This record gives sequence, structure tokens and C-alpha cells, in this order.
Amino acid sequence: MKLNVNGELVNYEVKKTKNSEILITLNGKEYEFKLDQESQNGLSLSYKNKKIEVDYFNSDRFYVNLNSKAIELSKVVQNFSQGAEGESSGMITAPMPGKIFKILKKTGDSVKAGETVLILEAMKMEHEMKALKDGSISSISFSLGDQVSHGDTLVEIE
Amino acid sequence: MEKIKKILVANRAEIATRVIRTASKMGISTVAIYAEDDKNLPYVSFADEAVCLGSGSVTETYLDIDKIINICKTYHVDAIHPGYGFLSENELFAKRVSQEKLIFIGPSPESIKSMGDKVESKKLALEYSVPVVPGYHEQDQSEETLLKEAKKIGFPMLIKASAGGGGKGMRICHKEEDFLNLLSMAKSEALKFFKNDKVLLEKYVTSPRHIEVQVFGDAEGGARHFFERECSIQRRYQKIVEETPSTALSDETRRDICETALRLVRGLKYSGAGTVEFILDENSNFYFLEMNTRLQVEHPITEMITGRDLVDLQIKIAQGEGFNFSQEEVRSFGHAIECRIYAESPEDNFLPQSGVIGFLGRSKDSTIRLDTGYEQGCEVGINYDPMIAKIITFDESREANIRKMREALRNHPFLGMKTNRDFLIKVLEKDSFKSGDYDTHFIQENEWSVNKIDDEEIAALLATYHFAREKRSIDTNNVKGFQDVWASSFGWLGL
Repeated sequence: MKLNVNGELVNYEVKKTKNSEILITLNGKEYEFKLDQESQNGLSLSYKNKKIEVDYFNSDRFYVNLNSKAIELSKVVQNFSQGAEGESSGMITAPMPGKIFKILKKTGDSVKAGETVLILEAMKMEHEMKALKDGSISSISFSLGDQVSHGDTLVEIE
Repeated sequence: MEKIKKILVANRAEIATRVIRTASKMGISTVAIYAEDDKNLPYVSFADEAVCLGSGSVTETYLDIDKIINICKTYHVDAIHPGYGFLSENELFAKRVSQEKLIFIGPSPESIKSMGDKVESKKLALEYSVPVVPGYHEQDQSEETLLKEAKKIGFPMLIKASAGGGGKGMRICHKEEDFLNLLSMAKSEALKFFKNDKVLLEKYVTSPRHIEVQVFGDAEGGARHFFERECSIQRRYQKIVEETPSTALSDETRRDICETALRLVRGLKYSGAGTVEFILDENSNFYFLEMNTRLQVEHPITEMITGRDLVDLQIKIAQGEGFNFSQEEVRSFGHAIECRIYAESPEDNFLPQSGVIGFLGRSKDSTIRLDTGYEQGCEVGINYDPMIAKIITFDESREANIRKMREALRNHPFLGMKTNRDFLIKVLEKDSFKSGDYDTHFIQENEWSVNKIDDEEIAALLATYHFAREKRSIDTNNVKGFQDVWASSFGWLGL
């Protein structure tokens, strides 16, 4: 099975042994956990007689609090237009939800890597959205004042 | 003396909740105002009455003076508490409130105006023998004069563009020999960026600490201080961890800085709550920075060590009461810390985040104070400040209190979006924080590691994920009719 843990791909196997026991195989090693207690947003596990307390919340991602670390688990999504390839192909995506505050370039303009193409306004701040590579702008998907969501493709550069 | 019977809180979320709590305790009824997108926040139902301001930008909601005044009239409000931010330091608003024969819970419009002006406030400070950072701010820009003034100020010193900001046209000069060279660099940069090459000179404090004094003035000219707060842990010029007492002050300096702050309060005939901010150098010299003419975000730590409710005092002073305690009766005990939880990504230059708060945490210790405007299920949107909550802890010693705060942070993960919670834990674990020997460069100068997660931890996470998924399927089977709710709000776990 596959999951992203804080954005890093993790391959693992899972086997239910008993009702409250689970066996996780990860990087060739087996980890057997026993479920001791469950509550609304948390559970306690034991691993080799060691107690582990975990809080979790489940929405767009699976959010976990373990050993003073907030960690996010997310499904592995196959999306061929994004990811490492997307970056080198020149897509600028919204790092957070916000409003298009300023557009400094237009379709057809040529840009250099690091040049600001548009400015996103969110949380009382302005964020410069920069080109990741040299090229010419093939599309700008939003207009001034538009509301954008996290992950939206704002600009494509060829 | 007319007692206040009904207060409108011209603010939202955390501070609105805070003010309503004290007002209710005093038997005063409350009116909350809220923008459409805030309708589900707890303070709206917590107030006795709540009025919607409609939707739109903040200028059409929380900053719309006419709208707020009209609500006061309709709902027979007799006083307005502005909270912090929004209209709290708006002179015109304070003026309008009193013109409408309402009580503004805060200082006079004159105090707001004079302290809100950078130049004017420093002039007044000097007038009342409050030291300001030594500097030169005059018109004569000849090299000879500037060099003479620079020597007077002493090195290291700053050359700053008068029209400047953001570090443009600014140079630190460490020795006299470099001065003229750096001056011409600063001037040409200032000309380029601001079309004006006028500069000012200021003493440069190498290792500054941000110390502020909580003060109050009453209508009868009385002035009290409530000791200091240390607020040097800042990112993007915003405080994230505050503590009191400060480790930087000797008893003598503490007396001195608090007395100095009171001179300003008396001089201004200041009425209400205020904070006098100072910068403290390595040699315990302090200089006036500015005065905030409102209640501060970090006021709870002062409440913890003095045992006094500052909102209660604000309201009493606003209705004309004088202090019923002497300065000597304001005592401090123990140590308090506040950590501000923000929806932001520390790895990403503290970029604000948004999302739904799924799980705040568990309070295992009833002495921990959690001031928040949100509850589980509330959305932290992009239209307002990304502060989610403040955790405040108190203990007899600083050492025990740092331990208590660490534990509190551990138990409050604020799951549902990226927050600075893990970062705050790292702050508390730094040696320089533990020793108390830090300054405002603390966050910039320290190395901040990214969380490492080992295989055993990943395995535990995966086990949790699968157990949780199983629990969900049992729950949905047992509770008929809830499937849809689970499927929509608990998204992808359903698969």
C-alpha cells in the first residue's frame, strides 16, 4: 500500500493479526502494534511494551499528533500534470487560498526564472508568485480579484 | 457615576470571547457583531445578543464605523470595547463614539492620536523624561553635521532613509572611519527607492530585547503599572512567545522601567489600559519605542502573575471609577508564559494557512489557560489574522513553567491544518530560551530543524490510520443516518 507522510511517499504492507492487533511491514521490518484504548480523537497503542499516544483528525488529510510532532498523511494521487514534472514544465500553482491581487504579465510575455508573474493576496499579506523557469506565458487562468484555492494552477509557462 | 449596562464588542473571535467573559461576570450584557463568514464562531452565541454585519471586506464589516454606531443605537448599547486591532487605535472612531454619547472603553482620542504618531510620541516621551533611542532627525544633511552627530550618538549606529522602510537605504556603521562611505551608499539607495536622499541617524542596539510595561491610568489622574512583559521572541516583527517576569531585568532596572512608563501615563493624563514598549540593550539601558493605546494580545500573562482581570479594570475606569488599590498592592508572583498558535507554515517562511480545526487537544492540566475564538469544527479562513489560540501557563518558577508549557503544547496539536505548534515546542527547547539569554534576533539566528520521523513512528502512524479507518466503519454501521455526514466531512478515509 502507499501513503504520503508529510509529502514523502511511503510503501508498506498491513495485516490484521487479531482484533486489536495490527502488523505493519515497512522497509523490510515488521512492527506489531496492540490497540489499548480509543477515544474520540485519539488512541493508545503499545509496541514492544512501549506506550504510544496518538491524536488524530480526519478531513481532507489524516492529521496526526505523535511525539510532539504534527504529521499529515495523504492519499497518493496520480496526477500527471503536477508534481516534479509539473514544476519543470512551468506551472505556477497557488500555495494557499487567496485573491489575485496584481497581474504583472500577460499571455505571450516572456519571463525569466525567478521573475514575479502575479501577486496573491492572503491573510493580509502579498505573496509574489514567481516563474520557475524561463519561457513564455501560455496561459493565465484567473483575472484580477479572483478567489483561488490551494493548488489551483495560476499560470503556465512554455 | 453611571454604571455601564450594555457593551458592544467591536471585534471578533478570541478577544471578543475574552471581553464577553469578563463583562458577563460583572453582570453587564453584551452585544457581539459578526461578519457573515464568522457566524459559526463561539463568541457569536456566547454574547447576549449578536448582530450580523453582512459580508464583504473588513471595511464593510468590522471597520464600518457608521454600521457599528447604528447597531449601538438600535440595541441601546452604552459602551464599546474595541478589543485589539481593527478600530482599537482609530482616533476618529473614539471621537465618534463620544460624540454619540457612548462610552469608549479605551483612552481619549487625543491620547490615541499623539501616541499613534511616531514623531509626536517620541517628542512627548522626551518631554516627560522618557528616554528614546539617541538619534539625529534634523534637516541639516551636510556631511560635516551628520558625521558630528554620528560621533555624538556613538558606534555602532544606523543610517536610515527618512522616507524608508523594509531595510532599503539602511546601513549599520560600526566605526567612524566607515561612516562617510556608508552614508553615501545609504543616500544613493534612498534616492533610488524613495526619490529622496534624506537620512536620519540612530543608535544601533546590537542585542535588543523587547520589554513592555503594562500601564493603566484612571480619570482622576492616577497611574498604575502591572510590571513588564518580555516579548523578544518574534517572527516577521510579530510576537509569538511572551513571558513575565523578564530574565533581562534586575530589580533595580525593573523599578526604573516601570516608573519611567508611569511618567508617560501621568504626563499624558492617560486613562485606560496601555502598553509602553521599550527596547533594552546589553547594558540595561532602555529606550521608548511606542505606546499601544489598547489591551494587548499578550495581556493574560500579566493577569496570571498579578491575579488581576485587566478587562474588568478597563471597564471600571471607563465608567469613571478610580483605582481602589495602591501601586504597592499590585504584586507579582510566579512566572507566566504565553504561546500564540498560528495557522502558518514555519518551514515556508511562516506562510499563513487555512483549514478547519478538527482537534484542538486535551487539557490534562486544569491550570492551563486556553484563550481562543474557535472551537472544533470552526474554519480558520484567509480573511482574518491567522492566530488560532493562545496558550497561557503559570507556575512558581520559570523552569517548572517552561516544562508545563511544553506539556501543554504537546497536548494541543490543533489538528486540521499546518500550525506553528511544533515550532513553538522547538523554541522552548532551545538552550538560549531555557537560560533566558535571548534577544529579538532569536528566531533568525537559531537553526530550525525540520521534524524527522523515524520508521517506528511511521509504522505507528500507519497503524493509527488503519485502526481509525476501522473505527469509522463500525461507527457508521451503528449510527444509521450518519453515513452521509461521515462521508462528506471525513472525506477520503471512506475510500
